[in-house]
Amino acid sequence: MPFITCDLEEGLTDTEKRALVTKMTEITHRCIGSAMEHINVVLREHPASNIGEAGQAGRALISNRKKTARSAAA
Amino acid sequence: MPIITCDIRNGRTKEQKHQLAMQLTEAVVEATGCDIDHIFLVMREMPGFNFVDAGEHVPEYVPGPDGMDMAGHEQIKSRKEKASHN
Repeated sequence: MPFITCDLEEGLTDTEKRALVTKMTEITHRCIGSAMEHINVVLREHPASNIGEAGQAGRALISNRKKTARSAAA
Repeated sequence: MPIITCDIRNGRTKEQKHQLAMQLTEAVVEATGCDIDHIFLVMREMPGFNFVDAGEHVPEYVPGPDGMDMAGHEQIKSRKEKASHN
């Protein structure tokens, strides 16, 4: 019954997303006492071009972080 | 940028809601690597009646021991019992 969503920029892997959804479900159960069966979590991904964050458009935070991480690893 | 939205029933204490907001924000910081300055969260409270789960209105939230949602757990339990009889 609690319905928790997170709108974020594309860029997380499936594994990262599954882990985030699981963690958000556990946090909701622990903090507000809902039955696990009642908790719904949805991640909604968007291209950076769709996002106006704190008054600024197209910041591409996640993709930039991924690029820097890849270049650091390379 | 991440925007977290929490639709929850009325009746939780400020501390419960504070914990929910802080812990969800932290979880998204860890998962995305975004700085906490980019995380926005909003909680929207409403009556249990507004939530229809598996075709049933969810009961109002009544806090049990350490905030456990007794009525909600009861609904899930009876639903499982009905299911096991069919």
